[in-house]
Amino acid sequence: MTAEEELAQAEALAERHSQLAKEASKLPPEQQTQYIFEGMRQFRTEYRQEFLKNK
Amino acid sequence: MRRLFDSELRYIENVLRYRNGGTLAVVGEVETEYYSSPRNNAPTHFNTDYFLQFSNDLENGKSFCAPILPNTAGAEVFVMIDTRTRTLLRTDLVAGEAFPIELYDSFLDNIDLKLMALPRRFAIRECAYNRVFVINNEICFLSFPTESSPVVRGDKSLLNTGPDSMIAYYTDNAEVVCVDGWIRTSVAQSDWKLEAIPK
Repeated sequence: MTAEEELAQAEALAERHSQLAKEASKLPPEQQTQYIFEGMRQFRTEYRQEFLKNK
Repeated sequence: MRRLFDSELRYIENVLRYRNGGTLAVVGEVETEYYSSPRNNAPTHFNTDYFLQFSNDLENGKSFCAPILPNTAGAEVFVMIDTRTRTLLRTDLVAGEAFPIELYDSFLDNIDLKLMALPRRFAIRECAYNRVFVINNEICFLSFPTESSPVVRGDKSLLNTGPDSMIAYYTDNAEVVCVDGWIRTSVAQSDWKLEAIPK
């Protein structure tokens, strides 16, 4: 990954986190970390697959 | 409600600096916080996921993120701020346990060296709760020998403070119950990244 690609990935992760945190904040605290963990895991997997496909 | 530990504010500022996210104008008190149990059934809590929320209104929140260990990807800390008011809204550690404590060895040695000046022996690797982030050439750490999540208790003292480090410790009945601080370090950037693959 180049520095530009890394930065793009970091921005995409941050954007997804922002969406997930807003959704998660409506849940009880004990469910929020798991909701964000699962959402980020799925997003990271899809991002990685897309990245490798476009290489 | 509680105020942030020094290491917490420092890592939050480091994430923003690392991502050119600007500076904070308002840092409120923690309104809601939650700490996950270890996902790997480890006996101690090392970089277990958590969140701290400072406001219930996240509508105008924008997040920034940084890996918690240099030259790695897959364990990140996120900081959400309101970009109009520069108010801190929330911070999350996500997949913090992706990399084991052994990968932090050299940074823990650095902390150990500084903690030798404490009035009592303090074995950071034996703590019930440890948080160690290395972001922007600084090690930020928060450690509790007996608590499995951060708790504010005891009397605060400064172990040292200067341009390259700041370490505070809390004592309760002459026992050190928490160490909290940051140490400047140097990190060589690698072309190779250790990546935690999602399962």
